[in-house]
Amino acid sequence: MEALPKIVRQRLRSGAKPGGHPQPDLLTAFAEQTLTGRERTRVVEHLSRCEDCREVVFLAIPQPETVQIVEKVPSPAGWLSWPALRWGAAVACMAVVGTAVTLFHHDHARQALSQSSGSEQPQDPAAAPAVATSSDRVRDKELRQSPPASEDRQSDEFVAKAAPPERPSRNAMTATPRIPMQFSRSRQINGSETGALSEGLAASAPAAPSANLMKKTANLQDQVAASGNSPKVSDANETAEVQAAAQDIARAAVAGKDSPVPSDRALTSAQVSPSRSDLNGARYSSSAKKELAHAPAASSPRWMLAPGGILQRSFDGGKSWETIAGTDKTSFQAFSAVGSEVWAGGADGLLYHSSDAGLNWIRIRPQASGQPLTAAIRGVQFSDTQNGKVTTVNGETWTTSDAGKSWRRR
Amino acid sequence: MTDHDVQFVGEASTGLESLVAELYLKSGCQEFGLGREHFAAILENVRGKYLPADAQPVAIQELYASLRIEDLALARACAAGNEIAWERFLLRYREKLYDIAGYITKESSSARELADTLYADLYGMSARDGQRVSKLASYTGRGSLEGWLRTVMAQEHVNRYRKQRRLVSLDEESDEGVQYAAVEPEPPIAVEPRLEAAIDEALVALSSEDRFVLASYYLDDRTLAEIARTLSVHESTISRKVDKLAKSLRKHILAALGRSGMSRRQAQEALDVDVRDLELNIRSRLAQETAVGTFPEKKANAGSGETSD
Repeated sequence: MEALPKIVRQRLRSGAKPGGHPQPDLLTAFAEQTLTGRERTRVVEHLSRCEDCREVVFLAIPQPETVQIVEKVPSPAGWLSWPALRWGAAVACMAVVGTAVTLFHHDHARQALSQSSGSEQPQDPAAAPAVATSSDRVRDKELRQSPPASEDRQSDEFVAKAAPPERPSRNAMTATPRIPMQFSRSRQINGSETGALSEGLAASAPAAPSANLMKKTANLQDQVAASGNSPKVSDANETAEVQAAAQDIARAAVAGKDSPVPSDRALTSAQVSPSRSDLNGARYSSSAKKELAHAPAASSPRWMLAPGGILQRSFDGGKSWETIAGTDKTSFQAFSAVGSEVWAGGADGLLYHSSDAGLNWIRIRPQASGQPLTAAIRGVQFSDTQNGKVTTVNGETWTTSDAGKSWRRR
Repeated sequence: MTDHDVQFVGEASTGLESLVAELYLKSGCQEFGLGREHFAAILENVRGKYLPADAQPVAIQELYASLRIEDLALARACAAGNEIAWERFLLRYREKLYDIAGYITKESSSARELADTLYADLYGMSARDGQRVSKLASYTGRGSLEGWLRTVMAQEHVNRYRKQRRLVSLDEESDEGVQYAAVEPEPPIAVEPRLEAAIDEALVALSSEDRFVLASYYLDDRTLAEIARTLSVHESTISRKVDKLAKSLRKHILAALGRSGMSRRQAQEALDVDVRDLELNIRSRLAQETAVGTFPEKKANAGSGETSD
């Protein structure tokens, strides 16, 4: 800006002083730009020579209000606009809350059920689950034909045999602990399925269970027998056999030194009778009973249907998941878990049931009026261990009120 | 006066009456209990302030039409002591008064004092001939009532400031700083008469608005934005105008000095070199030549009573 010489400023200041000052009304009108013509000229002339009136005018002019004009620009991405995000966030929040509530109730219900069943039998939380494998399939004919264990039998093994005519209840099996199954030289467990178990499950079954598993199972079965409840196994002609080397200990077990005497309706301590006659039994090492006796109680697993219809479970609250062996070849569409009872259904009417939290699986073949279930299963829902329903893609609903023994089609 | 003129005046008078009637309904005087005659008297009072007695009815109509008639009615009703009008006035302007005072004084306590003083004047604490005189009675509606309140408050503030500057003592000056000291008139300095004549000649040639812009910018140190807002133009317009005016002034002054017999170099030296600047330089140089530690040392020795050999 061009500087004004000081002498010019002085002469500008010392110009002729005006006479009277304008009225506040005129100064106000000048500040509000409502003065026109001669009045405005007179006021401006006065202001150009009167410092005080200039001061008044500058003080009287209000500060301009800051008005921000925001041009509305259409959003380049319509779906990413604020309303969409807002509604999306609301829906996401509702979904998260709903999922949390559902999981909470589900866990709560399973924990309650587990606690109720855990009071009957102990569970081993550290034990890893496994599915009955093809290597577990032992010659069921031999097992079926093998004589029942007796107190005077001098044998280093005990055999779980076919169920007696009176079937044991399912509740005993629901408390079956999850036990890692490994092979060992001295102790061997073999599971035998006579073909009822699905080919997918059977063919891809993991390694054979260990003797520890069988020891624990045998111990558990002793307790089951002692409690008067017999485990329901399956109609899948499965047989598990445990061969142990410690004959003395087994003998003692058979003699009932380490286990209570079973009731009439229950199996003996050396026998595990499945509820369905196809699964004939398993032979367990009697020394396993001691190990299992000290196993801590386990909690019910969590189940998940992974993409591809692979059934997975978790024993650590969802931190890690393990795939149920065999399910990777069978595309499950739905499952239902009530405590240790797990039902899983998939294509072509495949329906499997495990009453021991996925340790052993049995294929269920629902029939109603002579017609089998062949349609793809789309939903499985069991309200408790006995009552459930299976829905198919063709709109059929199969219901059972006796844990899958009999079915009704609607 | 011809018959045509009589008819024209008659029509204008009829139009003026109808305008007054229309403005009366618009003003809301009925709410405040002011009759039509009272309202007409108010308008006549306003007309007497701004128009001559023989003003044409058209000019009167233009004046009346330009008035803030609602604000005028409210102010005059308040001045008349109408309670309803006062309630409405306080509701509208009580908070604004303090806001305006704060904006003007930039300080809360002074703002409250200024607002309270103005409120007392508006209410009419002073009496004349036994009657309460309200400052609102001087409002004529030429601008908005809020703007008028702002102007009145600014006037009061400027008056106080000037009075305070004149009454400030030397002790206050030393305590509070030079900004509160009364302005000392600059001592008359002998200036080349031809230069003064040339400057006055150039300034007289300026229009009132140009002079107002120059005075506001160079004397009052107002910003370009403030000046632009006062004249309702853009800031850049004022910027160009100030620059153009300063150059034009220099050009005209140099030309006048040339006509008075000065050479161009002499004229430029006369315009740019200020004797007061030379004096200030001499003062500063004298102050620098004085040793910093000399005087305090002597003062310390004198204070302690010791003598140095």
